[in-house]
Amino acid sequence: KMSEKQAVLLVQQALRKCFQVISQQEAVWQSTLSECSPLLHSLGNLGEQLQSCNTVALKKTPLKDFLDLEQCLKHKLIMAMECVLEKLSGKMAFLQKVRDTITNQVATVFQLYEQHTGALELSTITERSAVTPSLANMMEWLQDIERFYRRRYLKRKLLLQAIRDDDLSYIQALPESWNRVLEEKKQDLVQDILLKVSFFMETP
Amino acid sequence: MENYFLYTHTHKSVSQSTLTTGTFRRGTFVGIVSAIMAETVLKVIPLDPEDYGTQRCRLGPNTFNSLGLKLGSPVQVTVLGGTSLCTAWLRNDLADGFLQFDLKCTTVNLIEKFCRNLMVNVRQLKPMPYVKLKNATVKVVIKTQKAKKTFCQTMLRELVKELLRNIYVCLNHVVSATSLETPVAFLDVVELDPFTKEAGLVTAKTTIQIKEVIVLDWYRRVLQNDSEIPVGGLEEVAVSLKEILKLPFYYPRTLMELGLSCPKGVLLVGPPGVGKSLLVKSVCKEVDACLLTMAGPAIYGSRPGESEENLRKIFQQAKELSDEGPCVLFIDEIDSLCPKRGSSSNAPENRVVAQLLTLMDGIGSDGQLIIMAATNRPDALDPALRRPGRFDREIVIGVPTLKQRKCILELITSKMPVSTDVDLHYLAEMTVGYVGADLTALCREAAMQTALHTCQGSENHVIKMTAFHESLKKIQPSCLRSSIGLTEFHPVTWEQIGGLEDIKRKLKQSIEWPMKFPEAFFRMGLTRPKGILLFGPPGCAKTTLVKAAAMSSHCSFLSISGADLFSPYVGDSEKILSQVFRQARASAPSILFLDEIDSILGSRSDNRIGHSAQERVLSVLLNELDGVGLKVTERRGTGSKMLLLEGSQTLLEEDKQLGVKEVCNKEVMIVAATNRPDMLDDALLRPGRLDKMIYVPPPDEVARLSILKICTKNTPLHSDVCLEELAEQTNMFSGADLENLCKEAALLALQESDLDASAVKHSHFVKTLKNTKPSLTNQQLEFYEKLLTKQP
Repeated sequence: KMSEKQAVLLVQQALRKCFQVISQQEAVWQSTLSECSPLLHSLGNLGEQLQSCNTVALKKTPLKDFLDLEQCLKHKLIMAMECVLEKLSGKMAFLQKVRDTITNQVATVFQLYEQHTGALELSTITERSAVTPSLANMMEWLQDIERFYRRRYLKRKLLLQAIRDDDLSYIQALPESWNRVLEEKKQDLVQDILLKVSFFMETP
Repeated sequence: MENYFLYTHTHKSVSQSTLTTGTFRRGTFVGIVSAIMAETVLKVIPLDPEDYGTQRCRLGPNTFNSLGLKLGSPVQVTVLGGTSLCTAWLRNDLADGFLQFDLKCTTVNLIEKFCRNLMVNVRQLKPMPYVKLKNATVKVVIKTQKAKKTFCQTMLRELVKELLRNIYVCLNHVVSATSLETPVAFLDVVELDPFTKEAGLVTAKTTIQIKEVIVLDWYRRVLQNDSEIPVGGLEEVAVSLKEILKLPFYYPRTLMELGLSCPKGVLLVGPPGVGKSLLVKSVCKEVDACLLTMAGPAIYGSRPGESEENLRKIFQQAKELSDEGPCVLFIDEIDSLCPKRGSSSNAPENRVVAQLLTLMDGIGSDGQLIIMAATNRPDALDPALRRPGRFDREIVIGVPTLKQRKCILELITSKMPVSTDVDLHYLAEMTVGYVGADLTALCREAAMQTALHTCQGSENHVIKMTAFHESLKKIQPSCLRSSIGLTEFHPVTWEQIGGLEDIKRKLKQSIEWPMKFPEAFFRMGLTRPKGILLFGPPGCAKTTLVKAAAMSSHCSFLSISGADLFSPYVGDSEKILSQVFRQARASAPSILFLDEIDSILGSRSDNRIGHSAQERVLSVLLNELDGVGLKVTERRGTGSKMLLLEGSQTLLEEDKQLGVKEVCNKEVMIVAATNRPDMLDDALLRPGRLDKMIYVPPPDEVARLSILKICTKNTPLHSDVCLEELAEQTNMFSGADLENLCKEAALLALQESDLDASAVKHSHFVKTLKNTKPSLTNQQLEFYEKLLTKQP
């Protein structure tokens, strides 16, 4: 049977790896997000144009001679919107991938812990030093991070899901609501936790 | 180490091991012992903000260890009559003796509860084994109706799956999703596969089934009347009410096939305090309908048109709720909302009535919305409201009968520590005319009495019969409150009336027996007399006799005199009289005493012309005595007669007696007294009305002696006083005269001795006797004798 020390080392190794993955994935996540925001702005813009197109009376303007102008314009705008949305859903797929990677990593750590739970005394789990946080804390943080990603992804997805053709004002307001998710408190939870474990990650 | 144990509650095994191995200073030792003595108790403190919605439960290391938990393993916390499923984590500061837990997955009664100032025993925490779920079926509670419409099934299932991911669930628990900003508020777990009564973990592989989607508003309302509402004595009404609700709610298609439209409204009629509102609540709970309550007066607004707008709003709300499931709109005190239109020349009120009528007509007959209304003044309602299609059914709830009262008392006292000497049967008999609210007040008062008396000394709070007796004195039946006939009089017993043994016996026979031993009357096929007329010369204890009879027969006693009755307004007297009768019937069995009936009623036979008030009062009285029947709204109880005749063998003897009393004692007994029986109308004196005439004669010698004895009971008499001689000398003296004689003699004694007299001497009596004249005359007596002989 495995000794306690070995079990601790195993779990610590898994944790270290997991945190490394998280820090990589967080970078991916952030860069994907930064690619998203111009897309959203253009979506909002297109929404505004479509709205104006709906309100303006073309017949009273010099453009009245162009037949079907309104239909053409609308069609073009809608096509453009669909194009942007497609790109956005591509980005969302990226985000989803990040989320799933993290979920899997965290699940692996928990699985490992469960396997060796018999060998781990409570005092070992709670043991902490200046450079190494306790196992219990780190596992907790992992769970927090995973939940955090799931939540962030879910919120964005719900935002995009709620888009409907007939609700143009919603589309116009979309960039702001998207940013509001960003501005929520605890946004730097992942960074904070990564800072807390930075010494632990550096120890071989 | 020492401090650590001192300041935290410790677990037994740990502290015991340290006890045997370590050496401690004395103070520390005492600390540990007391910690062991007081079982391991954890103080519940609020959750850290970052832990909200994480399903975590934070424990100290000792508790954690003693329960054999692992990080993140499910643990069940039982508090406040509900349970919450959490995952076990350690506190960051590793302090013991505290508990924090999230209410992510709880039983229904813990939803959105705050657990403040709670102490939890370690035994209330239970580690739960878990399985990974293959399938979970949930009811989704969604925040708004709009969101319900926009979400398609697949999107919703995806969302629910995401919300439940990595969450431990339990059967019949509710997972709260309010901390996330999603359209979903709660997820009610109704089925798990593989079936488990313990925890189940939702993983990526778990499939989710959605059983139904409910809107939050409706869900809340159903939850609201979640607690069991006990209703006593109204079972039969409740059953019929449930039937009315169940048919359209659960079998609408059957009704459709029969080509019927569902009933849309039910009107509950009954005096205040019988439990109309309570009944509606309890029935709604039982048929799982959502209850929307609206108080009539709350509708009115100050602006013109505001009231109608409020009304429309409430109906709209009810309609939206009824889209989700069965819904009952309950309008309390509907008489204030919907008065008769013709009589009140008040335009805004009329508009409200009209609006209500239109709204009621506008309800579709899909049967998910039923309107119930309660009133105690059905006559004040607009007649247009009381037709089928609006209020199809009217249910009358009367003042509780003997059996119902017993039932209610049993229900109320079931939760009270009642001493064994409390006889509920007796209490039910004593509380004639009490409604449910009165009985509750009665029991509350009794409890208060007990609390007041026991707070000085003993610990055990047991409510004794004496407390009930005390509170009976204080709590009056509410249907007799503000009544005209209610009188308060000094209790009189039969013994306080001298002589007249024959009359007393007659009175007992005709008043006390039928009230107390109805089964004997029932057995012999007797009906009791409807009314009794006492007549005789003035001052011969007619009124006192009636008081004694009322005292001894435990029934409500109402008394009216001419002064109560007459009023300057035309028709008022008649109204008052019939109201008194109505109240008497409501609190039956009861005695209605009409003193000096000759002054109240005229006679139609003497040849005066015109319709005087007295004549009209007389005709009202005749009608009340044996009119065609009661008003529908005065119905009480239900037809228990059938039960009595058929299955009485199996009933307990006591129940049987109760039943007999209930059936027989439904009526009001009229007792009238007069000294001018010749003035009365002949119609009044025929059998079936005042069918028993009792002549109260002036006291004879023996009677006079006993009257004198009673009158001088509290007066010190000199030894030379011979009451027998006085009795012989006071021929033609009435009881009142004799009482006066004794008083005068005592006064005289005081006067003669300048207030120093210690006893009344015979000479005083003789002197007084010389100065007083009997109030009765031979002429009078002859007159009564003649009347008596005239009677067959």
